[in-house]
Amino acid sequence: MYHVISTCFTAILLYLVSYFFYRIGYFSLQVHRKFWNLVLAIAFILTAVAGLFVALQMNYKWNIPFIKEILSWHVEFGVGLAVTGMIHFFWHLNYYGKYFGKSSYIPKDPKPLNISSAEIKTNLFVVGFVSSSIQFMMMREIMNITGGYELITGSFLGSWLIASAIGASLGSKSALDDIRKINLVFAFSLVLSVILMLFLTRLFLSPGETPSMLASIIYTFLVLFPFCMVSGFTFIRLIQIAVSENKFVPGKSFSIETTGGIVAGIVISLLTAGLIGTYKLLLLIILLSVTYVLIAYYLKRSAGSTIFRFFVLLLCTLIIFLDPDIPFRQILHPSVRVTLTNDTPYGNITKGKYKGEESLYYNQRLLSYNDDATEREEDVHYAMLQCDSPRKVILISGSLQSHLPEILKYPVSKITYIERDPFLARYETPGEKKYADSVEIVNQDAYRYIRNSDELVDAIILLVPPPTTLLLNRYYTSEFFQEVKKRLNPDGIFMCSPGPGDSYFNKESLNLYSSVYNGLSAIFKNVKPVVGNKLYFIASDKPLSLSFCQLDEKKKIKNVYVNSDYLDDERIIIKSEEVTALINREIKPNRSAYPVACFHSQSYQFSKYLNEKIPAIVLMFIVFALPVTTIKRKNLLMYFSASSLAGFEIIILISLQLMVGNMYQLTGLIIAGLMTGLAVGSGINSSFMNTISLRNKVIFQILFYIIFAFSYNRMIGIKSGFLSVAVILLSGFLPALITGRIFRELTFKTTGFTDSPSVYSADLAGSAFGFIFISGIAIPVFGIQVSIFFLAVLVFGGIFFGRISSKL
Amino acid sequence: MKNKKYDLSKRDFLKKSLALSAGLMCFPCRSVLSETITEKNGIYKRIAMFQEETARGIMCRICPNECVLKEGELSKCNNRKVHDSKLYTMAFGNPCSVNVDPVEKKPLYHFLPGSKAYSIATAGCNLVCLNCQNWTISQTSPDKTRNIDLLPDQVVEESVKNNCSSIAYTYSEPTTFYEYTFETATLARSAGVKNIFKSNGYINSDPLKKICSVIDAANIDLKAFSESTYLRLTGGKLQPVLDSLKIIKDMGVWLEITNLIIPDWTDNMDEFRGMCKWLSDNGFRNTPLHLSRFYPLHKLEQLPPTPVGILNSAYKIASEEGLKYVYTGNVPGNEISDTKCPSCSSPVVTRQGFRVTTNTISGGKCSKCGSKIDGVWS
Repeated sequence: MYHVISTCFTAILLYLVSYFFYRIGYFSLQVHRKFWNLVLAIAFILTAVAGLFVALQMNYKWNIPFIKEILSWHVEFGVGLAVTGMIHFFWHLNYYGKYFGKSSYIPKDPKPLNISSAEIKTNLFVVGFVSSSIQFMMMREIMNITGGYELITGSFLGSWLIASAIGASLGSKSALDDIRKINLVFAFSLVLSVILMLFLTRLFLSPGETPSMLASIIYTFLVLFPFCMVSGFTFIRLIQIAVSENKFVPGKSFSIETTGGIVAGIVISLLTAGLIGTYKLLLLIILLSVTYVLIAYYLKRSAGSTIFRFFVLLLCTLIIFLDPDIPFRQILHPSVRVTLTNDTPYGNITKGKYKGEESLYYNQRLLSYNDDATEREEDVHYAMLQCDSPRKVILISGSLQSHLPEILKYPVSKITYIERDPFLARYETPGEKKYADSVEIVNQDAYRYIRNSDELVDAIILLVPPPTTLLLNRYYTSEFFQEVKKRLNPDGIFMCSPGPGDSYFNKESLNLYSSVYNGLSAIFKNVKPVVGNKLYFIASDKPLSLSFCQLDEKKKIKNVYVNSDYLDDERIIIKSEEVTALINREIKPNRSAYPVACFHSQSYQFSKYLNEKIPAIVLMFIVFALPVTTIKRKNLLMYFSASSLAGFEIIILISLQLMVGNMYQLTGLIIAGLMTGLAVGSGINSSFMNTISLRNKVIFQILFYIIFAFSYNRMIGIKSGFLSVAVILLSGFLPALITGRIFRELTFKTTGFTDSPSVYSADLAGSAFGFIFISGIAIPVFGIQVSIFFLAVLVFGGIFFGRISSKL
Repeated sequence: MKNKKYDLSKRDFLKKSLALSAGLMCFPCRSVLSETITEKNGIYKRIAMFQEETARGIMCRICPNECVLKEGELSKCNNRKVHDSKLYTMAFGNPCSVNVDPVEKKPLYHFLPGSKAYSIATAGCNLVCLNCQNWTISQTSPDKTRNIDLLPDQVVEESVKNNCSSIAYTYSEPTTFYEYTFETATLARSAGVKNIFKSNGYINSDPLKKICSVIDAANIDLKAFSESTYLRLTGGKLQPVLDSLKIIKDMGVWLEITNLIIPDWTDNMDEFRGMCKWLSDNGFRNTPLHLSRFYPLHKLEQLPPTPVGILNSAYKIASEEGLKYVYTGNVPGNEISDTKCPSCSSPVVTRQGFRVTTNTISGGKCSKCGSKIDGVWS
């Protein structure tokens, strides 16, 4: 299957975008033409070279490796070439007709507007606010659509920043200074990105399909490109207008834009904490953004302004009172009929109906469904059958409605169900269902609950999903297992499931299971794997029995699936011994500061798409590493400092999860805290800061990271939630302040405006690299503490490769 | 004086470092390549059957993919490779999965009920189903899996040792380890052990006819009843599977058919009725049809499982179209798994999960009305 439709669609979309920006004056016809000549040349060369290899193989029987892949690329690029060629042909029909005539491009000289300082400030603030709001919300949505892996988070932020850097670079070369046009395009690019986000899922995914890494990278980039490119362009043009019209230094504009971002961080954090749905909020922001542009620049002296305001108010009311989230979610869930959707502070819950049966999706992932005796029984009985007389049981996450009846088959006196999201249990059961008196529902982070509780129980069953993200990884760490053991009676049982029980465990799944097993076996005397539909690990200090059918009969538990009708004790024991023998004891145990299980879990997911592994790596490399070569040497300090700050942002977000638990709603606040540092650093002209040389500031930043790395273990041991948040917020401020200061000094030092965009581009490209390097490589491979040292090395790289010459 | 030619600026250093990193990144790719094309541990174990030399290379005639391969190239099924201008199978005597399963698990309900099947599989498959439950072995090659050395005679020996009445070639796709299946099945037959071919039916007619001469029962997955769904879901075609069903039937091998009903993919009841009608019109009325419930797996993890109501509707349609033995499976607690006499409707074999609870068939006939119950009962 060749990607004919998607290649045609992408090429045509790119052409339309490029043509649109040329027409509105973002860049000249020459740039537009150069770009398409380049696309045509690349497509031609790659098609031709691949074709040559295929011909050599066919004619001369050359033993060319990967010939099938080369043939495939030959065809894929051939499709691209054909579409680009057609675009070129139709374009040049007109061109040849006018070959001897006048050039079609007549540079326009728009009449500059008189923009007051207040107006430009407001405009910069709005751009900052809207960009950051969209970033927070689209990140949440795209993460849900693509699976929520950290590598995709890096890809999202990378795509965001690279596209913004491209926009900034175009902005620096553009002559467009019609502020009305700039703002209008900015507002409408939002609409385009949201439409792309929703409809490209249909193009990239079959019903019910989880996207591959490669598809996720391409999807994320295509969705973000229009808005981020325009956003970067808009910001740079506004800086230029602010310099020429209002004599603002670029750092001041940067500071105002960042303040908009900070406010967005706080507002969006508050509103998305269960108050308002994602799409409702997105629609309101789009509407208000368009309204701002029209009122500020098009209708300000018009009589229609009042009518327009009234119309907007009406639309806002309609959006608030209607529920636009259901139809939007329906686009993302084509295989079910969406009946309910709600954004809680912890994620999105969507209820779907398919031919009469209900299923529940959490963050776009299938969580529970009707009539699954196999899963509900395996989840409970493999652990409970081990207990002689279970009285107290803790169930962490999973479906209470499904699992409770299974637990109640035993003479338990208390069941504690821990689920962070209070809305989950509420939506799982229609109406206000009352559970038995023995059930206590705790809406708290399970890690914190287990750590702080002092009640001993007979069994703890962990049903959170496998450790595919750093957030979920916490529940599969040695540290968590240690806390679990403290809550168990001496003969207590713990059970978890880090992944599926495949009929054959491949290398990636064995690495994952080994990292969890090694963590468990260091804490518990006995750990037994049980291969069911999932792979379960049962752990205890007492001897364990895998003769479930015997135990089942002995205890007279009436099961549908966990019994001798379906299971065979002998086979279960043989399979368990096979898995135990396959466990690699050399694999590092999964730890909070060494989240290796998360890394192996992601590798396992990627092993489903082996053919896409190398293209995905190459694409990531192109997206993240190549911009370095285009950055001016004097801006390398900005690049590396921004890399380290972005990496630090990831580290403190993970640390927050380790210390406090799921802090979905606080993520915006943390980012806002960092942005405050950036805004203060870049915007405030402090005489004290002016006295310190840039080199010394950078050295101070290096020292900060080193000290932070040394004190890291002590910091994550803080038990108070409030203190943890305060420490995290404060620790983000200082490196952000210095990075903001670097921006100010690098842009301030330049003569005139022209270098500000290149500093800004370096800042964005560096941030992208930092995100992907720290989250995707450094943390999983080297652990968090070593990664903090890497931040210091990155800043040192800025001094080593960059140039710090002039003083302020 | 500074020699410009040999002067390496920090920036150039950075650029060159990046280029070097890019080069280094190609190393994993190189190592994967070397692993694939290097002969190791005698992986070229048997010359493949049904190969043909063509002007374009060696053609594998086992399945409808009909891969044409040049020196060193790997087939689509991942376990056939050309070496010294001959096609070799890499899947011979090296299963990666070996289990003893109840025959009901295959599923086969009319073939030696209550018996055990010694089940083996090597890596490799000629389809790429989005919902594959065995993707960790089906979508890889035997030189990348952990294998057990188990030659055909040892398989037969082990099956006897484990009190298995049959050997099942299953899990991945036996068509792709054809030579291993054929040789083992031939030996098993002479040792009185029966052979079960659990397959997707995506096989050419000549190899199928040959294998039918040594196998006793087959369960074929009929995954959909539309060419476009087959292509999108499995990467294969429907017609060769339909042809295979007819050949197996005509060759006198006991056949049962499995149809996995996947929400939004294969649960269109009009299409399903079309399938049942085709089966009914083409002599498969006496062939058991297993309607299996889908669970979210592999690349289709976000689909809900098949609603039980849909399975029940499908059951009703299949019965209406004249199919005599229809079962639903993979729904513990809600399965329709008892075999009823088509004449008097009395249950002749009752099942609880994979366990046969009663079997009143005597001499292949209903003990109540004496009607023939199709199947291999002893």
